[in-house]
Amino acid sequence: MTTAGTPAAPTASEPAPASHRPSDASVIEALIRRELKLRFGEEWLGVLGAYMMPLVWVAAVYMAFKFFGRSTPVYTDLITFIISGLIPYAAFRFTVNAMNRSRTLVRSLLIYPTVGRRHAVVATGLVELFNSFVVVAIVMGVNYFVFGNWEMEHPFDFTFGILLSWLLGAGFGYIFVNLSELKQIWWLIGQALLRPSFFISGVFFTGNEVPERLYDYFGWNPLLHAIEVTRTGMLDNYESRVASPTYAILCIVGLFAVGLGTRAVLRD
Amino acid sequence: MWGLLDCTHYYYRFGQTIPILKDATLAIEEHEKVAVLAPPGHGKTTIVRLLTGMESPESGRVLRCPDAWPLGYAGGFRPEMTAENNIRSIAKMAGMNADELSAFVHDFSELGDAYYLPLLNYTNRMKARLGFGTCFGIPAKVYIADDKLTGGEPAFREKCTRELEHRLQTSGLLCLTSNPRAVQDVCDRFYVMEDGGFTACDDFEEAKEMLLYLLEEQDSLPLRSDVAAQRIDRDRDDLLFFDLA
Repeated sequence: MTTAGTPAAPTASEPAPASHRPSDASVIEALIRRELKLRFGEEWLGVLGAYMMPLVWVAAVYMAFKFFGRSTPVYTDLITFIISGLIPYAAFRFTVNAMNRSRTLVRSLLIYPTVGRRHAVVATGLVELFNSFVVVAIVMGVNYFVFGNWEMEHPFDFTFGILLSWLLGAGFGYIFVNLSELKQIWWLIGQALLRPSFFISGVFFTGNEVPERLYDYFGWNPLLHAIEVTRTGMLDNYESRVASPTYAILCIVGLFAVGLGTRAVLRD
Repeated sequence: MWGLLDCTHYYYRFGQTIPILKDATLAIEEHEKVAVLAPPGHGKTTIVRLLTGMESPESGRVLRCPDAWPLGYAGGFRPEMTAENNIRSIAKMAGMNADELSAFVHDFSELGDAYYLPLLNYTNRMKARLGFGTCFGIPAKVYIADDKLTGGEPAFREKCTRELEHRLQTSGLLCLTSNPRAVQDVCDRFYVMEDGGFTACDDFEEAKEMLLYLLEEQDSLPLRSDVAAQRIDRDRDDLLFFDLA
């Protein structure tokens, strides 16, 4: 009987035959299909349920505005104003949550040698980007067909603002989903950090309204800038004086750099 | 070469830290057929999870085989999806032609029309058929088995055995099991897990004796609740067949 000793230095494993080594795009596509099934099930009811949530948010914020007697700070109707802030916020928040869902998506698939966590992160992120624009279509469609309101001053800026919000959510979520592999508590810490974001990111107010002494603090929040870019793009009578897309982009780069750093430490 | 290099790993359960590996090394060549025998509750599934990248060790290195596929694994299926959609999805992840893999699995699993139903309607044996069908449909350099080399009804198990014998002419195998009989004729290298390490044995008989000794030693200790549950689930006569023979 012998005890298994330390073997010679490992040699690089021979790659699998080309026909059995899928491209990253192929794996991501398969994961996107599974994510859609996981999220919506096989029934259209599941799809509807998932997309109704932003409408419920709009209704809740509308009632809160009415309850506190707050009027719109911009020359537009209340629902359109609420939508201009909630749409990018929803893109951000849902993407953060989706990053956490990416762990569940591949947990049982990591046993396959061709599937990695990076595939799941990209797949859930892309699904969430698609969802963000479906939410835009539903919420703005309801606003137009039910209430007769429509504003889209600069579609490019509006789309850019949504993309910034989505990327901020993906970057923030990516960091904490990586950290939560070490300790689950990190995900909860990330969620706790996000909690005030609903109130300080310009969903209920505009950046132009924030007093200068407060803006020194609020201005650090990159989501405020992304929402301001979106709002400027959407509303006919609003031009943000504080929106800085460059700052938001720098924050996105920073978030992904930290996320990739934590991933490298954890060895994907 | 693939396997574990100086790995230490713990299993956490209900606040308890249970050591699975202590600076353990297991080096395997891709063509080898290796069996690791371990008493129930010694972390076979955890080691499979380490080798397949589902978990990372506390320390040490895992040399993952880039073409090692789990044998009969049904955990990757989504119950909301039909078997066909599941297989097509896995085909994309494996870099295979979805039509070809689906046709193979349909034929091999002999599920008939149930192949087009969501897995929510499946029994465990049907899932096992699908798992083995999928596994044999994907050419692998190495198969990793967690306790089971076959599954399903007796006739289907026969079919799996024949297919596995055929596949092992060109592929390697790592099987972690508590049942020595299962690997006696299949593997050519044998290890036994003890004290957080892998002890290499000269032949099957030696590995079997060591496992028997460990099982007897375990029997003399009060059973942990999780081990006791596994014991109840398992056919004890099957587990200790060589003791009674």
